[in-house]
Amino acid sequence: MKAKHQRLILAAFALVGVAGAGVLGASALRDEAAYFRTPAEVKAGKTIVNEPMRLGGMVAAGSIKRQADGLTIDFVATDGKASIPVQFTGIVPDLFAENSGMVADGRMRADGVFVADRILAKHDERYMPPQMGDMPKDMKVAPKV
Amino acid sequence: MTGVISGSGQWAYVVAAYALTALLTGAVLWASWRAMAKAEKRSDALRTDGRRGGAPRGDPK
Amino acid sequence: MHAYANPTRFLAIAKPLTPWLLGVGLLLVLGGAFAGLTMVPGDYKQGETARILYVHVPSAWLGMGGWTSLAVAGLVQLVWRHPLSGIAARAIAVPGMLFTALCLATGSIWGKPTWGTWWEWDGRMTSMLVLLFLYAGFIALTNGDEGQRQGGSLSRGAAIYALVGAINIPIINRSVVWWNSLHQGPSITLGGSSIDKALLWPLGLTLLGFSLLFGAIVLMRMRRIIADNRVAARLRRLADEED
Repeated sequence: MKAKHQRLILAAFALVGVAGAGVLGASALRDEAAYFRTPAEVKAGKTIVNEPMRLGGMVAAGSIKRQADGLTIDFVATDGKASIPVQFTGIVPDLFAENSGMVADGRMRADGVFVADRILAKHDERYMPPQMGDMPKDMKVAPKV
Repeated sequence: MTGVISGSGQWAYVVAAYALTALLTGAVLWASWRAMAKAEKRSDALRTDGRRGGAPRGDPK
Repeated sequence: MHAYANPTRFLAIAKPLTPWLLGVGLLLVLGGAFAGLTMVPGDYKQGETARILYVHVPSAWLGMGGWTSLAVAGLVQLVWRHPLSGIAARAIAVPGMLFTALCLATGSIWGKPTWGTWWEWDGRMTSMLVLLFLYAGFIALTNGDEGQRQGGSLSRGAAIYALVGAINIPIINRSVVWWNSLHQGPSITLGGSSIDKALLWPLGLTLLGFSLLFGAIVLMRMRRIIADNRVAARLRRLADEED
């Protein structure tokens, strides 16, 4: 066997080993590397009251209620499977809206309300001109190339 | 909290992103070109000097 | 003379190719940026900030594509010991790091008005930052090493480093699918694009344009290394003649 072939086989083994280790490591990180937990994940797990955590989900349609102080809002975060009421006092990003994604830093209160101390807006992967954004929902189908 | 970004303030972010891209890409392009031109000039000078059999002229730095 | 035959043939192609890549690349980038800034509408939600897409996405692709080619060069170095592979790997590292840094910086500038934050440790951003550190490590490992003085070949360690680092590329790509992240999922997949046609076309121009500029930078840096090699070889020979 030529030395070149030996090196090629060695390199192939090394590549397979590294790729395997990477996939194993990545899947082991599955929970730890998650940036937020969804309402369903929070409800399924053991939630510790007052433990700092990050909740992410869609803002449920018609759920945003502004309180009398003008700064505090209540809304419902949902992932389609479960919902968690959220309360936040402060300024939210421009993109924060009903039927849109959000991520909240905060903690669960004993009564099951998630009290957020910071809210980020999450947007989806669709981009389109404003005229198309005004169209009825069912027409907003991304063009397939 | 409108769900839409509007107003003229957003252009500052766009301009910053484009300016930074232009600046850094331009800097690496320029530096790579300069280094290449200098090295090839030195290499060419050495080759013609060598052909004449003399010692290399120019600063071999 | 094996080590010289290949660089000579390479230069015969690289020298006339460099100005073409530079010229066409610059034209496409400038045209794409002009179109992206003035000819297409803003996004229905993100408004004008979505225009950052036309510089952010090419940077991301080239940062990742750069390491992929670095790893291929490392493999060729390890197995076939082709004289140009180490030179290519050294030449790729700097533009690869440039576009990775640009991806992170433009993403940060884009994140502030849209998400409401400059930086978060989500899977996409963290793995992209790891790529930046990988490039920095490769440059630190290879800059001024023994191989650089001996024609530009990579040491076995540096070549293995390039290969092992490649595992980060699929992780970056899949990070928004595997893990809950702040960064949205992929817009452009094998199945199609969720960027509307009206907004998509300048991206094609900047993507191709930046790729050509990337190629031009790699060629220029390879030519520089080859020229330095020839100077060193020539000086060695002259020194031998004087002895």
